[in-house]
Amino acid sequence: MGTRNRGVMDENELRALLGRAVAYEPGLGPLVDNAVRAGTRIRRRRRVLGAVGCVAVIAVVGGMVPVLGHALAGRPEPTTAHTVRPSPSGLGPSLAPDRQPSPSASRTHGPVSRSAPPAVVPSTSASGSGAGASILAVDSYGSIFTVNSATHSAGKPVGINGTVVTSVVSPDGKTMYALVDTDEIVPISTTTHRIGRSIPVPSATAIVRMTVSPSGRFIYLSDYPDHQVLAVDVARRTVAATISTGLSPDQIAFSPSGTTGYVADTNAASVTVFSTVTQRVLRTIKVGQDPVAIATSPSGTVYTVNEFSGTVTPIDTSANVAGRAIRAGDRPQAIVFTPSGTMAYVTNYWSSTVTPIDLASGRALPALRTGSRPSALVITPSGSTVYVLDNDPASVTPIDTLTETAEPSVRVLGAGSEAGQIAVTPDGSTVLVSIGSQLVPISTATNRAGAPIRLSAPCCEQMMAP
Amino acid sequence: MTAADDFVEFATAAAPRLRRTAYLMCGNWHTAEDLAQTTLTKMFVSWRRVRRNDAVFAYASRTLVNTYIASTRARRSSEVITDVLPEQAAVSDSPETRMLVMQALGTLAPRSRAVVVLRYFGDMSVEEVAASLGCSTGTVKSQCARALEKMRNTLDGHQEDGRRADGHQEQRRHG
Repeated sequence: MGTRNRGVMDENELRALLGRAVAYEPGLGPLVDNAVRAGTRIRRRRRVLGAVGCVAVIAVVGGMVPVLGHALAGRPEPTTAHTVRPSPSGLGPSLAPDRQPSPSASRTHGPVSRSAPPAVVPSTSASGSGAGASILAVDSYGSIFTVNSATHSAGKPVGINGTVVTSVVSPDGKTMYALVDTDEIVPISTTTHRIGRSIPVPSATAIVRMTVSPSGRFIYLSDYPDHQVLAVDVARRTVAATISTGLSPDQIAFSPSGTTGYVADTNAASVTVFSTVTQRVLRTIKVGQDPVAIATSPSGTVYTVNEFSGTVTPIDTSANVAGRAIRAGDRPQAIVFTPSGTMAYVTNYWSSTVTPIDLASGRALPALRTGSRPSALVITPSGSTVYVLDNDPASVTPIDTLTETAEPSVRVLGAGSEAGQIAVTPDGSTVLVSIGSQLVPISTATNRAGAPIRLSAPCCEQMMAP
Repeated sequence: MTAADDFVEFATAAAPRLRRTAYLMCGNWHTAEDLAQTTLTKMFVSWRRVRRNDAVFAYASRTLVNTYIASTRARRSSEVITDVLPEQAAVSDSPETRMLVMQALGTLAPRSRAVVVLRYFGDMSVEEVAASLGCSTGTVKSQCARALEKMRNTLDGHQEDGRRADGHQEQRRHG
């Protein structure tokens, strides 16, 4: 019996043992270089529309309870809104949040103009009718804040544990899902701001985007480094399926019926098509190189924006085949559609232009000059104006869609500041640009920037101090 | 210094330790390198935020643990656990000792293994380990105690086996 080794019980002994266990290690590979390379790719993806680590998101749906109630009331007939809702971010500003904005973009299409789709609340602005829509914004530190769009003031942060990696709003506009670095998805009511039961997910930090299925039943997580999309069953709170995609999946669009999903494989030249019913891959469609954006037009065609080919590829969602590519400018980034579905606008980051596309003929019209390095863009719900976010320096260039002319850019902040995302409020009265830890409101009536709304809590500001 | 330079400096300094920590958690150098690389990738992605933090390495450890635990969930233990323990005394610097320690660690569940590694290899305080794992200090203490007991049993059991085996050999030799 006396064999019990007292030495091993000793904590110091264990320390020594563990030290010895790693004594003979193989040489270190180039993991720092690899990490920088992989990390750069992920960051680039996240910011597609230029969110250089700033306020990540913006916009969520209109919030006034009464108004929202109204909007929702009109929404049981899903038919109208379908098309729109699904479209993953039109060009989304790419962060989940932008999904919101995209509403502007995508939603705008068709439905919005008349009967508001889910979350779009038409008349907030008009008279400041009592209350403003409430906006949920995520700041650069991954905290969520409420912003009153009528008074342009930031409210208290929404208390969640952890840091928001990315976020998205459900098609009905009722729920914002925040992916938190504690490896869970936290649902937040857009009306009460109450936090629901979280959904555990594996490795949140690998996820570059969340997309909610048109039915709202599934949340798709784009696992960029692992080349797969996880289908999260919202009701069961589990990962229901893993969909293998092409290299580096990012944005996801849906067919008008919502039964088919289209994943942009951003480091490949393909789109992975899957069934939202079986969560199985149906086929792979070849498109241009590096489709960084994908969105469904109001008429039901899916378009990819192929960054390195400088083209836009239409995909017929009934036959699931790609049509003829349309030439855009250098390094196109994002796309929005007019509500009528007749025109699309594509930002060209490298050429500093926007290419208008006549969707009926599939022809690009002469490019319009914007500010320097345009990334994201949104369109007002009425479809009258496209707002383009320029990055160098941060500015916003309005484009009149009737005359197809670019108007003078609106400077957002001083030179050198990097803009994050752009969104338009559901009522179309205000365009919001995230920059640093601020939101800059731009009135769509005057195209003038208002006083910035500060989001960060004092502690964050301290940390930011040089 | 740009954020990227800053990151490379940190990562270069931290990589070896991260990989060793990962090795003790996962039990193979190849996976360890992957885990360390994934950890650094994640840190790079949020570096602008992370670098403002005082405890950058603690953040790295936390990220590593999360990555490791997530990986164990994803693919059930890629580690091969053999039935037969190498026959050698526990405390010596031989390859068998290393294997034995790894075996003992291998008997632990991922979270307790992480607790042990952070606490006794990473030299973290109970509070730091608790913060890294997002649990209470009480949990860390009880997990540590239980894990130690389990490892001890593995090591002791082996030693007894080893001694018995040695005895056999001696008998055989003498006989």
